[in-house]
Amino acid sequence: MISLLVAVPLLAAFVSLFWKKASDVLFSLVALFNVIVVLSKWFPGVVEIHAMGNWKPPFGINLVLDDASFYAALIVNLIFLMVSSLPVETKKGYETSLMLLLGATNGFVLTGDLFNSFVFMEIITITAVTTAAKRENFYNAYKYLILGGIAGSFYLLATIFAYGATGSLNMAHIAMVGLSGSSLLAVTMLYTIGLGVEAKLFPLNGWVPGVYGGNEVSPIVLGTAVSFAALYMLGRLFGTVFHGSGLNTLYVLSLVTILTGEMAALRESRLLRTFAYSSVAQAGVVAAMISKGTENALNLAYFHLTNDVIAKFVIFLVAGFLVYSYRDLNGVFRKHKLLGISFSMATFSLVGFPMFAGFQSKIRMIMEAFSTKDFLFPAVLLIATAIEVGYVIRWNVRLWFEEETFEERSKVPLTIGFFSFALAILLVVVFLQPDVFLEGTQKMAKALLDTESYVNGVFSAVKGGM
Amino acid sequence: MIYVISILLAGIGIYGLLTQKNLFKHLVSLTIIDTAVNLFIIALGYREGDAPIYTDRVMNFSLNFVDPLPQALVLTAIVIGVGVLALGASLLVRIKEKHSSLDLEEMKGVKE
Repeated sequence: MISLLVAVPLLAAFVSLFWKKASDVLFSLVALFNVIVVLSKWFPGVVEIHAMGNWKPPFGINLVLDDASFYAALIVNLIFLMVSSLPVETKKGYETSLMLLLGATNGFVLTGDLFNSFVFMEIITITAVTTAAKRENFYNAYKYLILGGIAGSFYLLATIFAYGATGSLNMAHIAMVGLSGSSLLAVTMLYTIGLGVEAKLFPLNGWVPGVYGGNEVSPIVLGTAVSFAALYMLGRLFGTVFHGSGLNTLYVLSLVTILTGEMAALRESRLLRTFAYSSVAQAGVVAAMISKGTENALNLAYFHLTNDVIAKFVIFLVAGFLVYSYRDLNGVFRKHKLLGISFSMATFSLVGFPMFAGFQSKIRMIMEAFSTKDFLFPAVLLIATAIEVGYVIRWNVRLWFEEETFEERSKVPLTIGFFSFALAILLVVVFLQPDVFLEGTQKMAKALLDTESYVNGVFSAVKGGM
Repeated sequence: MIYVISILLAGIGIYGLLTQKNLFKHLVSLTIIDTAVNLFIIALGYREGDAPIYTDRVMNFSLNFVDPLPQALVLTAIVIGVGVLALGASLLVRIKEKHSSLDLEEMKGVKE
């Protein structure tokens, strides 16, 4: 059943090449189908695997669905469902790559095999580059391709080192056998670099502003779904497979990522690029929490990531629509009150003003850091928040109150208005009832750190075959 | 020996990425790094001795023979490398059309 999450989008992507007229409908149907499949598995609690070709683990490739990969797959597929119902102009001609991206992201989240995850990561890179090249954004897409290619090489190298040290590519098997000494160091370092490009960690995130700022569809897909998948993989590898080793490097890198990202966002003068840098900084916050390695920290990391993904979806949706509809953005929200309110709510949640979801996750992260006697992370987070306040207020003032130039009001497509407002309301709901997400992320964090039941689940599962 | 060659090749690739101003040379450097990694993987599984085929000479699993799995992995990695190369080349064609050059210093109208 779970292999359909990967197989159906791949098949539909292939079909859409020959049936271009229907590709938009096909994309919506595939996304809807995937969401239904994921929902039918609602927090399985146990580890369910699909052994490809009926090869019993540790042989062959297996897809694993447990609480953690369920939550990640749920977020990814819901985002793609929303993307698929956006107006046709937004994604015209890119349905095939988006469907491939959906299949690859699902595979990346679900796979229980290191080499398989490398293959899916490369497919993600290739399709993401194709999407990023929309609106003639070729140069920035090319930069992303080169960086993604290098990251892929490092990821492959890490995989082969793990194979050399343990004689297996299966994540559960590697977690059971365990790496040690210099091979553990080499593997974790190489994985940090390999995942660093997709997870937007500091020196590897040079591609982000160019790609996110280049068109309207790539930030809402890459900045939300793919980021979530990459950061989930970080938790899966370092939490489940390597038992929390090698996290110190990640911690330092992510602190630097937060500060550099926020500084760059403050200096940036273009709307999409500002929030691209902000997305870098938030990925740093999540990676820093993941690198603490405790269950509570992981729980809060993914709670914050969920809030950030929702806020970023609204921000990029609204910003992408405005940037490509108007030449001058000053005072544009006076024409679009609903979009403006949603945008402001999402940005306030990003900063962590009370009444919005971001407050709940930020305050909890700071309390958690204090309770483990870590004072560096709260300091960095608070400095980052102060910088965030700066650029968020500046953009809100400019978009609401600056003198507007006369331009014809362009019509807001229904879905953009609906999604942005509904998600902005959701952010308020999460502030009032944080358990909406915390229950899920709690289960996710528990599953990520519970190596024993992961290993037992994979090896004892009898299900398999097509 | 082969390890040394693959590390050297990776070094050449990274040097090329850092120093060259021509975008096409970046793609070539990326391919060199890919080749270096592939060579490294093959070298890791290689043993002087038998091919990875179960014959009557190789009945015992603990005997010295070439590990077939890295070779299968490299095949996959090569295919992916070709895909990346093709996409990169097609993007370069479009960059050349739009910015009229592939040299970073001579490209026109690049929005960072």
